[in-house]
Amino acid sequence: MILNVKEDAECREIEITIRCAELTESVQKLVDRIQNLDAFCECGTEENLMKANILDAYYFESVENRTFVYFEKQVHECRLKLYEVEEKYEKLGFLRISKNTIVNMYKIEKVKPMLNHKFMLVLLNGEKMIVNRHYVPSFKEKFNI
Amino acid sequence: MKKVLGVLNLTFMSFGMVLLLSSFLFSKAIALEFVYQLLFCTFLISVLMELTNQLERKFQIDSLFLLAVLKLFDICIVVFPLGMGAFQFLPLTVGNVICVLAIILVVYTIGFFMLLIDDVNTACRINEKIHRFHEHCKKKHISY
Repeated sequence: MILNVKEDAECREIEITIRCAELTESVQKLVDRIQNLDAFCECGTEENLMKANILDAYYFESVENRTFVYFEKQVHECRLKLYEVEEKYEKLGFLRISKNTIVNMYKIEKVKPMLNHKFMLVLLNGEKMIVNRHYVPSFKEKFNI
Repeated sequence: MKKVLGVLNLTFMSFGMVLLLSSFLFSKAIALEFVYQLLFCTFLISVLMELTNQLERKFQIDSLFLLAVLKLFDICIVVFPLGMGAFQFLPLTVGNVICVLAIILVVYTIGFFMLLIDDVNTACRINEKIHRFHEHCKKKHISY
């Protein structure tokens, strides 16, 4: 892939043109990723509303009908329901690994097999998560396996 | 639909394997009645295994031992009362019961380790992809 960056003082907005022979799956992934580079999710309470870059999120977890988003060191309550997170951010590499957890596949450091045919994920911040057996096929699919 | 396909897949795979094994073990020609009975047994085991999977998901059973017991129970509940009882594949004697139980245990253990090897292989392939991705990001100074 050739990457060109041109500086133009007259340019008012960043313009990205992808030149390719065919719109393949990997090109589409690149388009999705670029389109959502500044995707933010609203976190916090009504009084203390803040926006966080979704690509920095490690995982989402639903606890007693409330959704929490976990970053490297902080945790915030997210205003979206877990199924909404799944629908909205699936293209960005977020995948469901259990009934109440959605993980950012780009924040996985390594995968370990478990005796009960589940997988353990070690995230870049050292946290460990379990992929439930029901979600193992879709997890493998996400990595094209 | 996926679950139905899974049940049918397991039914025909196990049916094929047992039929093949029977053709080697028994010198006599296999009766059509035996084939139907065997197909019924394998179908029933597949349905019970799917129900066990549903239970495992619903109650989030993590215990490896409990899962093994449940799966073995699915097989035994069909093989002994139906296969050896009603259909009389083999005479229901203590010797035969021990022998069949041993075969079930060995087949289950082999299946368990084959799945484990497959999981190890899958994890290695995923780790390779993750490693390549992180190396690429490091090289290009991309932060994700």
